[in-house]
Amino acid sequence: MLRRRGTRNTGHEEQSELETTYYADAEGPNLTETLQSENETDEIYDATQTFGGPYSFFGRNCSYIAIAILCRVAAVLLFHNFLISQPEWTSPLVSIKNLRDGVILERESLTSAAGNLIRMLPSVIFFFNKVIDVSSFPLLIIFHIFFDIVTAYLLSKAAFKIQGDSTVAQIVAKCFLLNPLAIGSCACLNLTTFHNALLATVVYFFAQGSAMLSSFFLGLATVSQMFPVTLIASIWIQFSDWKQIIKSIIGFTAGVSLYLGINYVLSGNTWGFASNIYGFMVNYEDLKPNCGLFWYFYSQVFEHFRTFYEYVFLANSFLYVLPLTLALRSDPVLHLTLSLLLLVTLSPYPTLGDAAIYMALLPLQQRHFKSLRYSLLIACTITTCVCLMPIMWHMWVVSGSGNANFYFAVTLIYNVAQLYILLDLLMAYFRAEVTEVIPEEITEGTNFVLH
Amino acid sequence: MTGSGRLPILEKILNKAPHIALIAYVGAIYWAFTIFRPEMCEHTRISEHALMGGVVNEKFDQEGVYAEVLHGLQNKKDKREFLLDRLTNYGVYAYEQRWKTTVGVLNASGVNVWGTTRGFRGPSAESILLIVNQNDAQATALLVALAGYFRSQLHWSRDIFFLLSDGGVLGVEAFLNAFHLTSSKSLAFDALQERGDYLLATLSFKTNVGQKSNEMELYLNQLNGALPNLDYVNTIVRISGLGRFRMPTVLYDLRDSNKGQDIPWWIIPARALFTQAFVSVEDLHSLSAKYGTSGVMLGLPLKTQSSVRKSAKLIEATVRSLNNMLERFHQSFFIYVLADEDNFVSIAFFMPILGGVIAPLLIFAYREWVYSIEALEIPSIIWVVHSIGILTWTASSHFFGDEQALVPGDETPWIILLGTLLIPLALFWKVPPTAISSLRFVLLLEAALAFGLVSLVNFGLALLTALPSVPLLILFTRPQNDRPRYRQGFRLMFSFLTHPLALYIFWNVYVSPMLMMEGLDAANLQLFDVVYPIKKIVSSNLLVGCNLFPLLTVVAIPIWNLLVSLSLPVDSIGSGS
Repeated sequence: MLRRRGTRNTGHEEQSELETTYYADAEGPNLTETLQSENETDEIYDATQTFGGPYSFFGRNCSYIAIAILCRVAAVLLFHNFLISQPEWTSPLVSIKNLRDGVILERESLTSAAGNLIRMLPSVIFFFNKVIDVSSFPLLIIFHIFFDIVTAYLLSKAAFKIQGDSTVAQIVAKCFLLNPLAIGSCACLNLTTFHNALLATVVYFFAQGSAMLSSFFLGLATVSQMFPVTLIASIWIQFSDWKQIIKSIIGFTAGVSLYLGINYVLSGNTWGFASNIYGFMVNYEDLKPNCGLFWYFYSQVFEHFRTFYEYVFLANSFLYVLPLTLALRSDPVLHLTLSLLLLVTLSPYPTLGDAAIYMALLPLQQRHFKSLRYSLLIACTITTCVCLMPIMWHMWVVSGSGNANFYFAVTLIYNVAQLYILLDLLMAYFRAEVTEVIPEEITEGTNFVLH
Repeated sequence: MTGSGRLPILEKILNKAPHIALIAYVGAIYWAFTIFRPEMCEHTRISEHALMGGVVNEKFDQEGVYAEVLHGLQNKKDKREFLLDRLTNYGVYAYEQRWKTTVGVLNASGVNVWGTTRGFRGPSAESILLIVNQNDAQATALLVALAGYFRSQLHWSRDIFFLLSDGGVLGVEAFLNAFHLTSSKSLAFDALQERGDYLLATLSFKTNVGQKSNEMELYLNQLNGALPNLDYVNTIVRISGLGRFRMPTVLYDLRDSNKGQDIPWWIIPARALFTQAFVSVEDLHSLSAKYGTSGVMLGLPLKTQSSVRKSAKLIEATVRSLNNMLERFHQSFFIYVLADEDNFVSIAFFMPILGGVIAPLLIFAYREWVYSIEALEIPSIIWVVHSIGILTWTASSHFFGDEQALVPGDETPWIILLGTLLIPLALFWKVPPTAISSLRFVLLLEAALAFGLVSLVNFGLALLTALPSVPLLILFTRPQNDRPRYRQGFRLMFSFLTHPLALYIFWNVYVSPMLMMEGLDAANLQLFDVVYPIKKIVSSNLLVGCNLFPLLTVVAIPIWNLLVSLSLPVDSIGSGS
């Protein structure tokens, strides 16, 4: 329960607005202790900046890479058929089945982008038609594992650049390489691995300090999935002077233009693919269940309200950019992590594998870990939900002993748990901020502060 | 709020964890003994009113055909040809379907005879399937007589399929696979010459085991814990109880105390849970749920002419009820426990039992998290034992699935598999002392999660395995600081005895007789008694997709290994606390 303690104008230049501070008792470590430990963590954090040393991804993680490859190969061989039959692991935008259909249509000289069957970019179809044979199972496995390793490499390098600590970088690599969601996603052989690699590239250049390149790859990711455009806010926080912002705008525009142009040419100089993919995302045409929140709503909504809610849901996807940017303007890494989380939660066709990216970046927030209140609950909830999804699907669709509510309940709780990660991290961040601004307000009895 | 920042209630739970865990466990058992009493259960009801069970006037009068077919089956050499001829003669489109197994565990083949009569009242989008075993001459004769009779009636709005299965359950599996246009790794079979649409329900029947002229045995357990819709069960029970039938329903081959037999009230629900848990294939009806269809099996009295007529009319009434349905079965329960044929317990009442039983696991896991774990360090043994479990499952499936792998009569591969399952891998893998608390925490949570997940699909399996496992898990995850050496050794030895197969033997020797079931004789236990269940669950996994084998290898055996790991004496290879 929250208890209002008072208001205070701090006079701090970053906190110039009137701030309302709430104190409350809640589950979690004592705030004073936490703050002490946070200060200690900060000292360690600072020390690692000095003693980080060079970091070799392959040198430090070779055993984990080997295990990750083994896990992925085993998962593909044993569970591929099962996983691609599960709706939470795949979507029309990334499905290997759709990709194969698209390639076959392309080979038969039927433009896949023109119809409403294939929801993939012409460049992707072209790539899997001409470069990688989509019908070659071993080649696909190698391709997906390669992209997963690349993703882990980029995230790990980015983590090292941000924290200067090879241990944290190693944890980030482990968190991605050994994450069951990433392994399962790779076993599905769908395009999530490719999208994750693209986002990891954005994160990499973001950490490397290249506004132009991170924005360029963000442009590519935006053309691929549309909703990653929200990550531009993180880039603008990270590179906040006008020169850099202009560079990022140029980079983003170049990325979008280039990739759209390639797709335009490959689709026979038509924009048919745009409505086929982006219209499909915005209008939410496919009601097949997934681990997101949209499908159930749209299957229930009256048809005459549908257009209204399409606007509402679209706005909802972009709504949080501004408040999040204002709140986290001094911590671009946290902003980026939470934006990636929101991207997964609020996108129309998410898959479980999408979450692997932001989960791998969570160790970068280790200084807030001691302040998290629901970490056990959230971890258990997400694990339980991921295990429950195939069971609820079985009960609903296979055995008929359940119904759509069973499956939706689990996906809803899964997403709520993800949002609780966001809330918990925000809370921890605000508490740390308050400590810097008004440390005298923190007493022994204070457990958390809503700032 | 407390100084530690936890809610007071959580603090109290942590402080009095053993007491609260005990109360939850005992309370759950008490709750079970309360809600499964027939007088405390809900009375069965039919939610889908369109079924109108028993409202129609049954007109079956083809006992002559029954007698003729039965005579033919007893005397004709080529019975299949005879059946096809009879069915065709009665106007039913009749065909054969050949099938054979393609796995090493069983070399079997058969030829199903099946027929269909189409719905007359419009293009049907749904079908009803009647099934008998060809080996049961009386049931087969009745099905042929019914097929001919149904063909002559005009009130069908659904297609009716008749299956005379050769080879029992596998014949049904071949037919259902072909009907649903699915493929099977374990069976090769002919495609069907005609097709039907969605199967509303399957109704199997056989000559009753009891051989009593006025009893109807009702079998309803399906593969992997599935049950038929309760409306379907209730409809049959209502019809059989009507004055013109007066056929009391017998569940799980037990006559309850209300019918003059001296059987404790808890036997039927206990047998219901047991059958759901461990009898993966009860009879011909058991595979229907695999295809999203409700299926039951009736054991009917087929000895006298009057009982044959009653039985035939009972089936006619049931099929006509199914024919009346407006929608597919969905209104009533799919997850329930029958206390007797007129009373049931719904999921809302029996799920708290499992909640109470696994609550100690969650409480102790939380306590471990709060008091013992400074940094969660997941030991590699967890990944190792589970990986080996997955490897055992897949390698066994691959090996025993190979048609050429097994030599008839050679038990060696089975003994090797048994040995693999019995090896305590924990002895060969060191757990760092700093990871012991994390191991306890993960083990308790994993067990709780496994029981919870399984309960949604197979409540009986989850409950019956959780009941003995939870006290053992709590016992073996207690820290063993400063205990005498001999007690640590005793604990380790006892942990070996908690192997799932040891529990299986314990169950069969001591618990089965309590449930009035055939068990094992403790004095004459042989290797076969242990190998047999392994063979059975591997075979049913490969042939029909029963999930007991993967659950054993991927969940139960790894949990046992982790338990052994935690029982190793201090300073031993495993470590202590």
